Amino acid sequence: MAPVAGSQTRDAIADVWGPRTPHAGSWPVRVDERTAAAPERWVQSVCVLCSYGCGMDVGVADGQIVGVRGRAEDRVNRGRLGPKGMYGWVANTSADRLTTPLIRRRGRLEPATWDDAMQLIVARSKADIRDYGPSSHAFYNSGQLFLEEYYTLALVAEAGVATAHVDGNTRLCTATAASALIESFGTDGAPGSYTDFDVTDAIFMVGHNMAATQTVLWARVLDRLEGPNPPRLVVVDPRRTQAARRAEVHLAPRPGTNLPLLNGLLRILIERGWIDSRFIHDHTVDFESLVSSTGPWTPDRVEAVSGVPAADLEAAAEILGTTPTLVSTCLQGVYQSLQATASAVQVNNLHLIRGLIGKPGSTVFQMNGQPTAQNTRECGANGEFIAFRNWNNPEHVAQTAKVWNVEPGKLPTWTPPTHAMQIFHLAESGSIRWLWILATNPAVSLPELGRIRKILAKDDLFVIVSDAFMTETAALADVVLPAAIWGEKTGCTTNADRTVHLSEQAIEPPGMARPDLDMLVDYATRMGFKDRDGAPLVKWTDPEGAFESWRECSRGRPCDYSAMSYAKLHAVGAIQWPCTDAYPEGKERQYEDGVFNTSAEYCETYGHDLATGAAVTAEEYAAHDPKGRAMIKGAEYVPPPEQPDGDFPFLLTTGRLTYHFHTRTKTGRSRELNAAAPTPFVELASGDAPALGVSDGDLVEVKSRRGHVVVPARIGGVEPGVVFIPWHYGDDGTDNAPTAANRLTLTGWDPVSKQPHFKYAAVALSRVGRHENGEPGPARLAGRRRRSEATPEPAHADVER
Amino acid sequence: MTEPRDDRVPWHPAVDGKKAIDAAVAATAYDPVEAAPDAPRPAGAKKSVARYLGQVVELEVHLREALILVAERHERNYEVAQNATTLATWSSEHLAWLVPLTDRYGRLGDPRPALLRSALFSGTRFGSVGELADVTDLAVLVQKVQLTWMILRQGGRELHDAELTDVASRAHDHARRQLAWVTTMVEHISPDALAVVPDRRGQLLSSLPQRPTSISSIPDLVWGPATAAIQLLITGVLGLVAGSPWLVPSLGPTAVLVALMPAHPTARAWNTFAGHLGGLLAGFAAVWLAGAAGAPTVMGDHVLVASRVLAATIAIALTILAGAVLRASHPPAAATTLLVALGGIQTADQALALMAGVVVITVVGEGLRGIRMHRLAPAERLAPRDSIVGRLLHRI
Repeated sequence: MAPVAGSQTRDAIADVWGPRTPHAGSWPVRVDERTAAAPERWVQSVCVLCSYGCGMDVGVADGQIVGVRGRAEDRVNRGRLGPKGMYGWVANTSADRLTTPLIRRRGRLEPATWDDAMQLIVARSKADIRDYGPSSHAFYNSGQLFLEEYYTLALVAEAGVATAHVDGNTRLCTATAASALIESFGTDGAPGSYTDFDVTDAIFMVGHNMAATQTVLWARVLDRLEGPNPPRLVVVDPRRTQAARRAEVHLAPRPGTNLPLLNGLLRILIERGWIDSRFIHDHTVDFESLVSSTGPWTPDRVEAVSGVPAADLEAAAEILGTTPTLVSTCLQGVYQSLQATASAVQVNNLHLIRGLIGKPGSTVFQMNGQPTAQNTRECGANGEFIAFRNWNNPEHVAQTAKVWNVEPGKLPTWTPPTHAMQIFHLAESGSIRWLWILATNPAVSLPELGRIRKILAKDDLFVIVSDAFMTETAALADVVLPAAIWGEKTGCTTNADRTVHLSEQAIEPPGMARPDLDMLVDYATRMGFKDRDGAPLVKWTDPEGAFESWRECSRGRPCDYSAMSYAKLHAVGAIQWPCTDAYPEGKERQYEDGVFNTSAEYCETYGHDLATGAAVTAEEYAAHDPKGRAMIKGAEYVPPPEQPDGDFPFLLTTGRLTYHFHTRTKTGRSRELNAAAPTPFVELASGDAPALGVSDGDLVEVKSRRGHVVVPARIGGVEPGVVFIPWHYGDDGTDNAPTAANRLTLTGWDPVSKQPHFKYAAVALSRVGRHENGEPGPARLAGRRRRSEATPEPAHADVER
Repeated sequence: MTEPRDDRVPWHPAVDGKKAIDAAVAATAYDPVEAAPDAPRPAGAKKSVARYLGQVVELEVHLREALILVAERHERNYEVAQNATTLATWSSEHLAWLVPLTDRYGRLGDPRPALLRSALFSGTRFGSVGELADVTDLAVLVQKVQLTWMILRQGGRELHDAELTDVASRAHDHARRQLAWVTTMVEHISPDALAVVPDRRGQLLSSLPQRPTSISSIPDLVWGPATAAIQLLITGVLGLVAGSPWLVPSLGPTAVLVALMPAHPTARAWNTFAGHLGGLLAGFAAVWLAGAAGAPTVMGDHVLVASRVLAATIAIALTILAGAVLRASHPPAAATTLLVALGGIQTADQALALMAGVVVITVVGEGLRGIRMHRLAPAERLAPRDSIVGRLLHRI
């Protein structure tokens, strides 16, 4: 594990956000550094443990990573790093890395050579394509790979195998961001820039626990809050998070009631005339739909449904309605809850009716959940067509076919790509027989875990897992491929404000581990995939080759990389797309002229019915072509699929902790991070604890209609009737009671983005005993929790909803 | 737990669940346009509007039931189940909108929507092939609904009835969106249904009902034989107990009809009872008219005489007429009438025994139809009545 010696500029566990550098206008530099030994050299890279995307240098000595430091000149973080960035890199050197391919023989995974493993994969692949067709194949990937790998994956899956069953775990975290941007603005891609936080007059965070999930961005906001002209802060979160504590107005809706709340806010704005009629007239269409959809949501009604007091709603509306500039952010509290896309679109609508978009200090961030989720989406590995093209537009299909030199008819564009939950449904029903899972752990991260694990263990489903560790998913696989990870390979990442970084290889992968890019190229070669001239379909073997093809593929689209190169990225460090001959240094904001990507020949989809997910046809869209105007889309209320009742009287919401990322595959291997948050827990309201007979640290059974977990209790931090469990934790692999939060969650998803509902399930609680040492975590965490009660700015393990 | 929880609390004690549900339901309520009471309207128009109102009410009831049926059948495919439920709440909403209109115009009953419904959604449906069959059947119903709303909207405009026009326009738009969803589902499901070699076992296992209430999921192959047998068994056993020949050949077709086509209007209780009664009376009338009272019988004497031929001819015509007059068309009644016309039943005792059998099979059959057809509060099984979904499905 991690060496103890070395130095650090700050203790990012005890002080998550570091010392303040108050500002307004331009964020000062503060370099955070953590080394275990003196580095021989520094290699340019980027942090991949949250979606903010901090530029970092990786210190190397003796062929090992020995430390990290923030890049002072980087536009994203100006030298800073968060706790995951400072301590998470030790995962690379873990002793339990996978170093050799494994093949299941007689029920056990046994070491094998690469040649044996790939031959088995290819033999099964060829047989299944012959006997069952290409749609028997599926690829379930990640938000953890690099741009070049997603691009190669899209090519191999869509033009090689020709299957539409391709999706990423980004479906769980970021699909709604993409859908909301597309529905409103015509294509994916953030309109604004992180620098908008430096100058804005107000910040509106909806379901986004920024303090826990993008700690460096929250440091940026804290620096604004403590500088001159601090922005006014409005936070929507059912939990009293760090951000909520700093907010001028904190709205705490019951889980599942985002849409009523947002409709209520917009209704007040419209009623008071806090709108920019000129902008609405010139740059948007269908404002009327918003007037009618928000009409029923009077403040009293919003209060009854969401539990948010009408006066608080009015107070929030006044800030949002009168501020001259505004930055809004949405994250999982919106994306993983009910009516996800519909709600996220209402935040876009807020900016559209106020005309607050495309100018400094005014934008909306539909944030991403993972470091390279933007790339998954750009490259078409997340169910979108490559480079934000439109599946239903023959011209766009032809463009792609031309770059790849394949017949347009070969690409499976007649149906939208199958989303993650449907891939598992089809595997359950036997349509999908060959599933390659790249760099993700669905046996912990998907809802209704019991069902997912049963599917992965099915005899007639051939499962390939490429990962760096023996995850819960890999343990169920037929073939396990050891993967090289960040630091051991080169590739690009793009963050939520369109900033592209090059993460360069610093060390060699351990043992026989290889980058996923190599595996995909190897698979394509062995399968004999050809282009239309009979040449190999994949024309590269290294990341730079893939990047060169991607540059060409992205040309002319919003995510235009055509004027970027590895050399330029190495020299400049961070470049925003679009990067074209007209904007060789990248462009900071989209839509500055109020012209959006909505024209029928340019848009990414023709849109959907926000209530049902029904696709709008090309003809319907063309008949009302917005021609560059943004689309205001009102959304009516759709009732929840499950609701608390006498048997299950509490609403469960799930989320992340500051110190962990996803299923802890990496962060669980850092001693510091693991010690800060070693075990799961359930958080419940202090008002609910006495009736249940539960005190802090008691073991509590949490039960839903689908499963149960037993975890220690933490009292406080949520509204009565609501409970919270972090979902990072699987079960401990023993016969102990289960602890994986996703045993409780329900199989359900947003009709448009298909993002599953993790934030909403009815549960019952009962006390079963006392945790071994009477504390929800080890002494250190408990100590900090006690301290947190005494200090106004506590640093206790905070959680994203 | 230290103290027992009150299980009647519909929500968490700290939350006024009822108020929350009320508000959520109210937010979807329709804000009616004022009807212009004095607009001059031709008197004859009222009846025409009532006819189409009756038709659209019937159609929306059937559409709501069909959507619930599809949601239940494919509950493991969340995409289908959740959206079908949402769309069913829309149909329920339309029925609520229709109340003030039917109060003003009245409505005429229309059996045709039931006929249409009975032709759809039958057989064994699971896996993507079953999903495809069900959503394409939905398309047929939805399209009919959409066109009927269009008829009403156009009529409302012509009649300058602002309320009718507004309701019909909104509902028409909903129907358009329902159809768009169906179309999208067909697009999504078809590749898997057609191009992928089906794993019947896997598909069957993955579409088994999660709840025992999903009787709609039982395939006809199991349901049909079992329930037809149950009908005859109960009738026969009761006949044995009563010591009277309650089992007659014409009950066979009735049992089959109820077992396999429970949604068909001719299988309704009234049709069964009045249909057989009409057939019985028609048979006796025909025997009298043809003067065949003393003639040899076909079943007993194994001969066919002219007067029996004449009686049979008259009987079948009278049976159909009786069915039309009583609004009780029931094809198996034709067997009853022939039984009488050909001499199988000659006495009042025999006729009473037959009617006793008819009554038993009607009662049993209606129960089975109710279970299979979801006449018993279809929405109840999909969502508890005090949930928001339940309330929205139960608006009417």
